[in-house]
Formats: sequence, structure tokens, C-alpha cells
Amino acid sequence: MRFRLQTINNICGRLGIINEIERLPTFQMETPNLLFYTNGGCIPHLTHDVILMLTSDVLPLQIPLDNIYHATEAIIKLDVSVNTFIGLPEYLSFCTLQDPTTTVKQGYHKENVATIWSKHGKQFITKARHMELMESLKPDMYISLCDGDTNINSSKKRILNSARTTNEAFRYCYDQHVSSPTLCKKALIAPIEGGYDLTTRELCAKYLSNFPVVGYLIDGLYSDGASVHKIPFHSVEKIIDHTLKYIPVERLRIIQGAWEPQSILKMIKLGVDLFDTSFPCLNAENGCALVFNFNVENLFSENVQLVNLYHSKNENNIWKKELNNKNEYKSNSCVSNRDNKLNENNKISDGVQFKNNVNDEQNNTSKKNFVSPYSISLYDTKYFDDFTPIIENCLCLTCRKHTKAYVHHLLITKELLGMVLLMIHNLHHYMEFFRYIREHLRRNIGKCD
Amino acid sequence: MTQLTKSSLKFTLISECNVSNARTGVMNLTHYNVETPVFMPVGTQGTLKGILPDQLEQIDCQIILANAYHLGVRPGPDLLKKAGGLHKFMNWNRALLTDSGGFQMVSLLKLAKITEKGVKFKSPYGADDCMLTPEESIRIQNAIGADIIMQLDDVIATNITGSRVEESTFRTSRWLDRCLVAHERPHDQAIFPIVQGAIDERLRLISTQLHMEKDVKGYALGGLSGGESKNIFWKMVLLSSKILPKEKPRYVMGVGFALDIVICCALGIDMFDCVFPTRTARFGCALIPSGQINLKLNKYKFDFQPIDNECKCSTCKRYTRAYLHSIIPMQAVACHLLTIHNLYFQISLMRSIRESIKRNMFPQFVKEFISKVYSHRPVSKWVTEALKAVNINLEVV
Repeated sequence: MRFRLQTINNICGRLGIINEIERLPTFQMETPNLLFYTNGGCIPHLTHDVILMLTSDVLPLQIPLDNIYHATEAIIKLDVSVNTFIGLPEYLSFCTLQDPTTTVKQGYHKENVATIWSKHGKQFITKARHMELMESLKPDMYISLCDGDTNINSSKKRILNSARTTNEAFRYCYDQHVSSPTLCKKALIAPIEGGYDLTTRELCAKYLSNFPVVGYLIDGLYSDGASVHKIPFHSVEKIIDHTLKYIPVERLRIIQGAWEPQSILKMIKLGVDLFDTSFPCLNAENGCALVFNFNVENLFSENVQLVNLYHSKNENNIWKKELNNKNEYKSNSCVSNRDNKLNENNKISDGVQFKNNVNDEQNNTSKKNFVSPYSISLYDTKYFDDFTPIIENCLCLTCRKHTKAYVHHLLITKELLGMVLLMIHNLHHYMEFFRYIREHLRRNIGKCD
Repeated sequence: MTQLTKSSLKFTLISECNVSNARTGVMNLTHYNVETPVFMPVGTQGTLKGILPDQLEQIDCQIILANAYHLGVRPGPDLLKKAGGLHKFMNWNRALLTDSGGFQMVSLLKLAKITEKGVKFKSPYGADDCMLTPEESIRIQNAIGADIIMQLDDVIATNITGSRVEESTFRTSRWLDRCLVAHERPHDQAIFPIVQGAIDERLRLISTQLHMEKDVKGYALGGLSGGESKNIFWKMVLLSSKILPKEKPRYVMGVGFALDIVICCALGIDMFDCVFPTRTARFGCALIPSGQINLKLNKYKFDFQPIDNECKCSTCKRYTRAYLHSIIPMQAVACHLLTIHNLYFQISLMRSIRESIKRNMFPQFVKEFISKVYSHRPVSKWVTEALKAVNINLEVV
């Protein structure tokens, strides 16, 4: 795999191209762009024939090891690649470690292993095991084993441990990578840890910059995948900016998770190239449709506002203030169904009691409360008789063919098609958002240089 | 010419089997021309279990069933009227049939009380008592606007005997009259009466005859998929289909197993519906010519073949048993993939039946089909007998 930087634009961000994938010679993707979040190897709710109604593009899939782990036994025994196993051989695969939309259980550490939570419960992955798995899965891109269990509240000791484990694992994985005939043709991505500690970030970045990898993943920024969109950008800005200073400019930079679109813009400005679709997926999972307007001039200016098409400008600001003031909002965070199931498993296997309830009613209430400035909740009864599309003029299948009243009805009656329609719209909207970002960057290359 | 005025249902026979009672034809309905025999998948609440209308068209699904009882509660007839009918609400441009809700009253609501006026029940979504009368059922179905609507019938459990059966049979006919009076859209919605009479030959015959006197475009046979013995089931079907007019379509309600469909086609039935293919998909089961396989079973963990090597559906073209096994029941995608496969299976079966009748090969088709289903066991007595009654003799090679 090759990443080529086309422009470096200190004011707006950078444009790049990913191509020369060993397995997919015709694949080409421009950055900034998206990895498509998968769970169990599928884009949630979308079968391949429906994906084709969304886009004919060859999609890059983000395949977290924890949510596909249960299938590795079959993948190894059948001796097929992960792409072949999941029935999507023509798509690009990027194997990561933790599902970016769920909560990483904190405090499960062992020397030199990473703890992941699969369908069958807790799994300890050693670096050797990790490389065996990658050798079997044969993803086009993958990260070395890492311990990303840090967030803004992590102690210095935890941060140092996470950094040490990750860097040591990288060293091992790198040696294995270059000496494996299978893996040396794949792209190894180096995870950079260091939590919210600038010094550790710097040390990790400097260390990893010595190795000729295709790119880097800035990891260890959050634990709760469902509330990443509530992390204010200013709290991560310095960390990202500082980390990026110490890695070679011409290499790919990746950040995972459901960051709010406004933060995504700022990360692009700092020079991040690849993100994922956690945000549109989590919104759909909670019955929300993305309705923010990205079609604005000066997308990368300091005071740009991505306005919710359903709010007037004033309402939008008031809403934001309310959001910042509401502390209970944090504790009332939404957890995806998978997460609940995991917790249920844990309760049984470990006897550990987790805060999140599997209670359906509570889950439903939290769904109704999941409203961001970027979306509308189609659980809202005001859409009961609204026979207009989610966004007028939106070209996605959902907006071309279905109304808010119908999606509302599907959610209220718990029909599966509701999620399908929301996923189609949200992914379409988010892909268009990124398309606009790239166009904007292209248009403004001259101006900003 | 008056015949040129648009009719809610025009049924044209294309071909008849020269051995059995099987026939193939086309039903011209308000929204679509449906080829018979046809299987109608059940989309209870105005959606077919996670499948897009576009996907249904791709697998050549021509008509689906919706439920007046469920839609009457949510989103309600007023909203559906405002939306311009269910076709527009769910964006389905082909044919629709709505069930009247009588069956749901009995199957879902144990507390339902049936009187001459209608069915009184407790709403599952509120504390109020509701009353579903024949008039109200038709009002809801007129608002939904399906191509074919069903009368409200007095449904009883199959194990009931005695005077209640008689009451239900005659009440169903009285309710039919009330439904016909209440029906406001006869020009674009065809209403079907429902033959009742449980497993009483005399009552079934009376019910069929009473309904034949009415000005309707087709007939349904009700109360026949509730677990009665197959030996009785096929006799009840044949009893009605033998005397029903040839030029109108016949619909056996709630029948969806491939074997039952093939036998009923031989007996002269044109339309079927059942939740089975979609429900079994949600339980991780896939239909194959010899029956069904449960993909949750561990033996499929390392099985890297499609569900059915011969199947041309989008699921079988791309996904394997091992992968499906790995995502059941965590991922909704597993359910969608199995639903598509199972619907494709049913629709292909119906196409094969129609083709074999057109080519005058239906008896051969039946024999091949039966030999696949019964490859490892002797053919059931009722199958042999039912087919024999319509001149298909399985014993003669």
C-alpha cells in the first residue's frame, strides 16, 4: 500500500491518495476520507446488495479485532482471508483492535497483553498471538498490538504503562511483519499512545517515527465510544497537534471514533487523513438522522458553524449552551445494543456488575435522549405525519423514496427497516460531508498556500 | 363497451394442468398484474422485515400482505389516508393485500370477546376496550387502500367443535354482507369472502355455497392452518376448490410450507400467504429444497458453501454458511440475508410451479419435488392421497 501526499496546506489541511494495494491494484482513495465501521464483518444493518444502493465505490472497511474475534477460529481453519470470509473480497480491510463505538472496560491489564472483549467474553491477546491472527486474517492494513486504555482522566502511571506495552509490542510486530512473506506486502500502521500527556505522546511519536511504516493511528484518546462526540475539541487539540509534530509529514495519520463533525474539521486542519463512520452509525443506532449543513464557505475558518438544518441559527447556539451545561447528559450516555449484550456476558462470566442496564425501557429512553446538534431524532412524535424526506434534495435512497413519517413508524414499531433507512441516509450524508471537504481543500489549495 | 371500465380485479387463466386441478393465470389488480399461483410474503406493519421495497422488486415479489389490525393501531387509518394509502406510505408500487384483523384478534388477544356486533378486545397499547366491527375493519382497509381486502370473519381455534363452529360459519356470512355494504372502494379494491366451517364438511360446503352467491372477485379459505391434521386439511381445501367458480382466484390463508403449497396448487389453489419464510429466517433458518437448515448449529461453523449451491439469490452468490453462522444472532444483517434467501426460495418455487403448468409438466414437477422432500423417508399418506384425489399417482413411475 502506498500513501502519497498531494498537498500540505497549513491553513486548511492536506490532500492525499491511497493506492497500490497489493490485493486491489485498481483501488484508489483520496484523503481526507472514511473507513467504514464494521461489526462482525458487516456494515451494521446493510447487506451487500443494499450497500450497492448506497455507493458503487470500493469501500475501505474498519474491522475491529474484538468484534470479529469469535470468527477467527473459522477463518484460520478454513484458511481464507478476512475479506473472503465476510463475503466482501473486493473491499479494502483495515484490522484494528477495539470497536470504536463501544466502551473499553478499564482496568483489565496484564503485562504485555491487550485485553479485548469478544462475543465470548474477555480475551487476552499477546503480541505473538496478534501476529498469528494477522497472518491468518490477511487484512490489507492492520495495527500492531496496542494498549489504548487511556482517557483524559488516566493517571501518569497508566499512561506510561500503556505506552510501554504498545511500543514494545510494536517493536515485536514490526520485526514479524518485515520477515513474514504474507504480511510484508500489507500495510502496518503504528499506534501512538500517551493519553493526554504531551511528554509521553512526544516520546512515543519520536520512537515510532524511526520505523518505515505507512501510517500512524493516534490512539488512547477515549474509553467510552458512545460519548466521543461530547469530548470538546480543545481538550484533544494540543495532544493531536503535538503528536503530529514528531511523525514524518508524508505518512498517513488516522484517528478513530465518533467525534463530532466540527471536531473532525479541526482534526483535518491539523493534518489527520483518515477517520471512521462511528458517528453516523451511532446516530442511526439511536434513531437519529444526520441533518447538519456542511455546504458552507470557509469550512476551515476558526468560527465556522455546521448548522442543524432543522434549527434556526439562534436555536442552534442555545442548544449548544444547554448541552455544555447539562452534566447529566454525560451519565445518560447511550450504549449500543452490542455493548449491553457484552455487559450481560460479563456479568455472567466474571460476576462483575456494570453500570449500564440491559433494561429495554431504559435503553429506549436513552435512545430518545440521544440528540446532537447535528441530527434529529426520528422517535420524536412530531414526525408522525411529516411526509417530507429527512433532507429535501438529499440524493440518498432514504430521502428519494421515503418520508420521516414512515421512518418514525418503523422506529415506533421496532421494525428492522428503520435502522436500514437511517444507516443509508447517515452514511450518505457523512460521505457527502467528506466529499465536500476534499473539494473544498482542492479549491483552496492555491489560496491558502 | 362496459367491459372496458376498469375493474378492481380481472383474473385470466393462462393454462390448466390436464391431469390435476392446478392452473396458472394472471390477476390484473389496481397496482400490479400478479401471476398465479403466487406466494404473498407477510409485511405486517407496512414493511417486510428489514427488506427494502427495491430489494423485493429485485427478487420479483409481485404482491405482499399487510395487516389491517396492526396498521389500524399504528399508524392508524387517519394517517394512512393522509399519506394517500399504504402504497405511498411505504413506497411499494406493486400489489398489496390486507388481512381484516379477525385472525389477529384470536391469535394475539386472549381476552377478545366475539359478539354479533364484532370483536371486543383490550388494546395492547392502552387500557381502553376496543371494538372491531366488520364496518370498522373495512373502514381501515379502505384507508390502507390495498388491491385486495378481506372480509372480517369469525375466527375460531381449530380444536373447537359443536355449536360454536356453526355459529362462526353463519356469522361469517352475515359479517360478509355487512362488509360488502360498508365497502366504499369496490372500483379499485377487490374484497374476498372467507370460507369458514372448521373441519366440518357440511358447514364448509354451506359456507362456500353461501359465499358463491355474492358478487365478489375471488375467495379465501380460512381456518385451515391452525394445526389440524393434514389428512383433513387437504380434504377441506379440495371440497371448496372443487365447487368454486373456475374463473375466480382462490386463496388458502396461512399456508406457506413448500410441500403444502405444491399440494394445494394441485388441488386448484392460486394464492398463499404465511409468516413462515420470514419468521424462520429471524430464527436463523434457511430454506432449501429438502426442507430447512438451522444455521445457528455448530456444524455450520466451518461450512464454507453458500446456503444452497443451486440458488441464484444475492445471499447465496456472496455469503457462506460459516459467515452467516458467525453473525447470527448478533447482526441484523444475518436476518436480512436469510429473509432475502427464503423469499427468493418461495418466489422461485412459485415460478417453477407456474412454468411447469404452462409447459404441461406439472405432474412431473410434483413427482420430482416430492422425491426431493422425501428422499430419506417414505412419502406421507396424506400427500399420496391428496395427489391421488386429483389424479397424480405417485406410486406409478
